[in-house]
Amino acid sequence: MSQVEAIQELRNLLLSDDRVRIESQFDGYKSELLSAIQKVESEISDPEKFSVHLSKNKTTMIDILGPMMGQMIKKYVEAEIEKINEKISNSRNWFKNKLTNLFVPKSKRTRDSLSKIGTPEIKQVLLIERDSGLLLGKYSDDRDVDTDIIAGMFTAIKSFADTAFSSEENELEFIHYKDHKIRLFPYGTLYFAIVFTGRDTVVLNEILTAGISDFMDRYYERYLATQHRASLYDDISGLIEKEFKEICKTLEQKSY
Amino acid sequence: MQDFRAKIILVGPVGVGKSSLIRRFVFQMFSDLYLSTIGVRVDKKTIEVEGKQVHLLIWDLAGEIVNDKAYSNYLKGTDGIIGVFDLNRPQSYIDLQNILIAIQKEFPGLKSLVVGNKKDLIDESTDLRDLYDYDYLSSAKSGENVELIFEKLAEKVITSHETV
Repeated sequence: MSQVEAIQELRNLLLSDDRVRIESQFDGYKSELLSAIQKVESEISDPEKFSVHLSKNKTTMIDILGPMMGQMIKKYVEAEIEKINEKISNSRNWFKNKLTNLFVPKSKRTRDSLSKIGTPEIKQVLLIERDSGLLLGKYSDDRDVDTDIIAGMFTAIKSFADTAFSSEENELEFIHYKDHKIRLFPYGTLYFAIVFTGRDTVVLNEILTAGISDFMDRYYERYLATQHRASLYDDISGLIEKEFKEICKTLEQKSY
Repeated sequence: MQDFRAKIILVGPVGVGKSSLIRRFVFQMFSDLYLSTIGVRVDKKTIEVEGKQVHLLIWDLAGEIVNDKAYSNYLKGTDGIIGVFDLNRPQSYIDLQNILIAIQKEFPGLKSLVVGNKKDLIDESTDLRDLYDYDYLSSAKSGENVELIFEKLAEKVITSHETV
């Protein structure tokens, strides 16, 4: 007899009484469990019995389903209120527009409607040295903003982003802040930062790219030849203003 | 009057008082949040030097990023640097020397000044010249020499541009 067989024999002799006792107990539980399952099955398959069972255990069912139903109802009500608010807001705008149309000339109305849908509007143009972040020239309709600091911070943010994403070929090109958008156009050792509101459209980018390219073709050599960048500032700012006033006009025509 | 623009950077280890010196010198437009997020903040002060209106664009670099690649990128195109150390922490002087050596290696000929800050915390009888080699002593707390430091660097930068 092997060792395993000997142990099995010993187990049979020692545990036979326990085994009989446990098996008889298990049979009792087994039959109880089976009858409970059968009862539930018969109640579920018979709608009448199921409804009786539910009505008998109403309180228990409410305790279980109540919190879940509450959450679902709350979400549904919130969504419905949101929809109603949106409808009220739209109706109010429609009514307001109708009233405005009664008193405002048609041409102005058209222009206003178009501007509302996000026609791009150039707010600032900054020509900046790529490395130093120093401003070489600007065109800005906002006298309160210190464009020197803005140029420096644009350069710092640009440098940070370019380093963080360790990209030599790709550069930061676009910054979006609330209703203001900033598009950066690199050109040699300089870059233009154009701050605008409205949509970032293909037409806008085409006009800006063409305008900047044309401007830089004429003035970049002059910048490179100048030893003292300070002497360029007023001159270049004047030229940028002239150029971008034209660009704004073109943009206005093409947008309408 | 001719306008002149210059990029000035304050460098030095953490906690030597670079930002405090700038705060003493300019009204700051941006919060300290920029220093902790992108490691730099730009401020501006316009001063008159040698009959010229000089717009100093002052870049405050966070001491924590001294070993980052971003640090040397921020230094590009700089006209002059102010190296700051804490007179009460000799280690900060050694650290500053290492920073300046690294900068001069990458940007040779860059105009610079070495400033020992927090002079208000030093015993007046201490002979600081025996301990450190510096250009100026300053105190952001009392304001001592703060304006002078920026003016002197601006003069150096203008002179170097005029002799090009």
